[in-house]
Amino acid sequence: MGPGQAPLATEDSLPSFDGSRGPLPRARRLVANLMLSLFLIIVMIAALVLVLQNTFRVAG
Amino acid sequence: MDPFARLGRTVFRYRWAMLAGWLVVLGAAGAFLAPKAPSVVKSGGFRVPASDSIKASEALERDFHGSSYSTAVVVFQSPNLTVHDADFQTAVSDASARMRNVQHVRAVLDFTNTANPALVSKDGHSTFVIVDLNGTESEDQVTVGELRSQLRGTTLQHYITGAPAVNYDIQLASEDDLHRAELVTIPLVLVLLLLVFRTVVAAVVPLLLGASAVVLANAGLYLIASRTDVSVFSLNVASMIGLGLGIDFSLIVLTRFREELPDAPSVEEAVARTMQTAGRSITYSGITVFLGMLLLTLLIGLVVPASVSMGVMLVALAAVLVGLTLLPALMAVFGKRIELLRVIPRRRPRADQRTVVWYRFSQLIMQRPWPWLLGAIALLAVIAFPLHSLATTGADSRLLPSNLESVVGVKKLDTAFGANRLTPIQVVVKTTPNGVWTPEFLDALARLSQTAAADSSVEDVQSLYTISRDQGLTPDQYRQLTPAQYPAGPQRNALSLLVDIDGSNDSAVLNVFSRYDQFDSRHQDTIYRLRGTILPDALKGTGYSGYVGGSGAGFLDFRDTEFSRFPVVVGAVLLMTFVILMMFFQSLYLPLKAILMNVASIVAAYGALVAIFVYGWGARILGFEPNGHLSVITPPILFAVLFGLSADYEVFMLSRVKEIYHETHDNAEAVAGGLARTAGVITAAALLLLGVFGSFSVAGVQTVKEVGVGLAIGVVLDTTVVRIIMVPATMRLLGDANWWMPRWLKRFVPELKEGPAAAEPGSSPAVPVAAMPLARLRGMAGAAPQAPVELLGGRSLRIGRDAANDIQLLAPQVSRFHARIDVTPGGHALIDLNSRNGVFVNRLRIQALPGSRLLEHGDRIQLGVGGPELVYEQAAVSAPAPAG
Repeated sequence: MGPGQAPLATEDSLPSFDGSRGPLPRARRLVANLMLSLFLIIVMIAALVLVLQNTFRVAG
Repeated sequence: MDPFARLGRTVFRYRWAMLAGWLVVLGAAGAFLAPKAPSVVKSGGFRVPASDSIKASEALERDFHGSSYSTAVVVFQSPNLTVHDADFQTAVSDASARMRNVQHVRAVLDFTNTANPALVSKDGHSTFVIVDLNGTESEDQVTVGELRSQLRGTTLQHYITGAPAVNYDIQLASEDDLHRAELVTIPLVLVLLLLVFRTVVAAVVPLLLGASAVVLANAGLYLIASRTDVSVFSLNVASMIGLGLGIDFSLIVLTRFREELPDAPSVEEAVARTMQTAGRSITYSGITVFLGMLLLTLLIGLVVPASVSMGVMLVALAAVLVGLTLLPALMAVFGKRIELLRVIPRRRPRADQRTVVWYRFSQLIMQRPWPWLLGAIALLAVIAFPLHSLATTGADSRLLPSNLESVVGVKKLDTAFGANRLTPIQVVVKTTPNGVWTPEFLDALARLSQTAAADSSVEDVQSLYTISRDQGLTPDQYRQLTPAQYPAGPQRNALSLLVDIDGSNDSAVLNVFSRYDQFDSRHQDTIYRLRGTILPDALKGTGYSGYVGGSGAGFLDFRDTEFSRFPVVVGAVLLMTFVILMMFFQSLYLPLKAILMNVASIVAAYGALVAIFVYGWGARILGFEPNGHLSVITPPILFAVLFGLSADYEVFMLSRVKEIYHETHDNAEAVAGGLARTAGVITAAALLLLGVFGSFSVAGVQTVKEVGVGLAIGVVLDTTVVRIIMVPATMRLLGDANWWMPRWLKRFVPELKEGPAAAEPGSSPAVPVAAMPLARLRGMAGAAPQAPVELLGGRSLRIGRDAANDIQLLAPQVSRFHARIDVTPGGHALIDLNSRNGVFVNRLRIQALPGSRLLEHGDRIQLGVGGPELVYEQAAVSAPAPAG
């Protein structure tokens, strides 16, 4: 293995959000990740909407 | 311990409390303070206190109830009928009657109740009705909506325009712009954030940070605006720069955190190291922006620019506050989970091609700094050149999309009545009560009317004198006029717009209609002539006072005041920045260079904006009709925002450069290394900001479009020409003088320590010699045959190509000062001095400065891929070195 191919930690080896380290069943993990992504993206959209509304505000 | 590192550890320890605290603070600010900000900020803000135009406008509002700020105008047209047809007249009188019933309408003046021929066009197919409103600025806007619904059944073509209608339409257009921006910006920014931050979890952080800073700034603006006048532009600008700083700060901090995570023994240590380096950077850049904008706010003395800088100032403060507390708390809670929900594969740790490219490019520039620098200056000068034809305009219907009713109305008026009927220069002449009806006053009014009408740019003049003359009165009859000659009726109604006949009879108005548009320089020259000679000459020896007002004059007063104060205030802001950066960098030339380049990129952005919006280059692509003007508020907004952003980049980049210089004392190496190590982050931030600002260029309201395009251009110039070419070239030319500061000055300038407190050879904690294991480095493949070097406790050792190193290795992969081995309480630590090709231990690349790696017996150290190798052996252990 050359220096460019250092072994990497993968998401699977990282602790999941519920704190358990044991692997979740693949399908459940996929769904959990999707739900979490969806939630975070909604948070992002909400933050952006808030900022944009402020940007285009006209007094009155 | 370093205060920033200590802060990081404290936040880590109380991370949940910190999160909960912020939740409460942001919740309270977001629920109770921030939402009220829009209701206390004000539109307008273009009036200059105690100026001629304000005195005229106050007199007009008090005595004539007719300032252009509160007068709506309704244009009625018919292709077949003329105003002499009964159907036309009935339609207009019915419409007027309906409008009189609307709340906040004080008076409706049309050609039937005033018999004023000026209200009818020459061909007779058009007329306009003056609707005098008495609400506040925002009430008047609501009234416009009500008037429009009252006119819905009218058979004649009709258009409501005038200042309140324009303001109302700006509101409508801004709502449209918001929807369009949401459609464009949100997907674009989401995709860019995911590309740049690579995981969904990390991508959320900049938006949380930006939104929190905006909420806090809004809350601050609410508290300030409920005590003093603050313009609505403060909110707009605060959210633009809030998003910008949120993105910048998160990138700077998170990138560092993710760099530190794999090497640090714990998440707490990673948070502490991140705060010690990146946390310090964002603090100083935030403080620089805060203090600069504070100065601008306090000195400029005009509501709009002061509000804009106040918005930037508050949001910078909020961003630093959030960046130093909420951000590390989030990092502490996320820890390694920051890498969760990856959307872009992890970049290979080695072979960061972009970094190499940046590094090589800066080396290339530093080989021939003069041609590159002169080329870059010439390029910026060319871009800035159009600035000489800068022409500005105030809030005007032309800044709006041309399909809006108020804009169409202005065009119809211009066609039917000749241009500029709505925007006369209004000269108010004041005397004592009932003094208007004296021969002396009437003579002065006649003189004024005649000399004003004789001006080459004046098309027409309207006053008590011209009306009497048109009625056929002889000069003697005119001098004998009394108010009793005007019984209640149409004539008196018409006259009440020119003399306060129903009030104290102490003032008269002269409406001067210019041949040119109110923002045309010839219109403005007429105002200067009226103020300079015509009015003083006509009133000489009379004791009457006179003021030249009207919307064109109001704009002119604002523009002249703004442009005369701006350079002085900007100078003060730059001086302040210079002092802060001097303390930060402990250098005389670096801060000077930084602010000069800051100004250069802003001036070039101004030039490019003039080329686009005044010359109309690329107008079709950007989708607007060029009107030859830039909005008068664009320059201060651009200055405030671009100043903040480029100061941010500069501090971030130069602190990395300084970090490396302190390690290597090699100027060229430090510049190339600093540029390369910050390149990814700054490029990513620039891309994101380009996405945000670029999307404002779809706005219909031209001011927003100008600001969006200007910011995008500024960011591009700042991160390309300035950062990639000018910074390395000038730093190469200055050489070690970059870091020079006179000894006497050093005594006065307290040092603000920057960057990591990386273990300096002399400053590393004293380690008892006896406690250190004796160790040696043994040369392996590629290393020059060299006797093993003993590493003794208490002594650092430097490796590189330069002869000044303790171990000199002459291989192409080796940088001049490549790596260092420090003695730490934990043992020997290997440090990559931001080498070009990296340092590998057992084939894994170690983190560059300020990262380090503790060496263990048998570790194989390689300098660059395929470079020389050394083996670290602790003398106490006599195990054989592993085979190469």
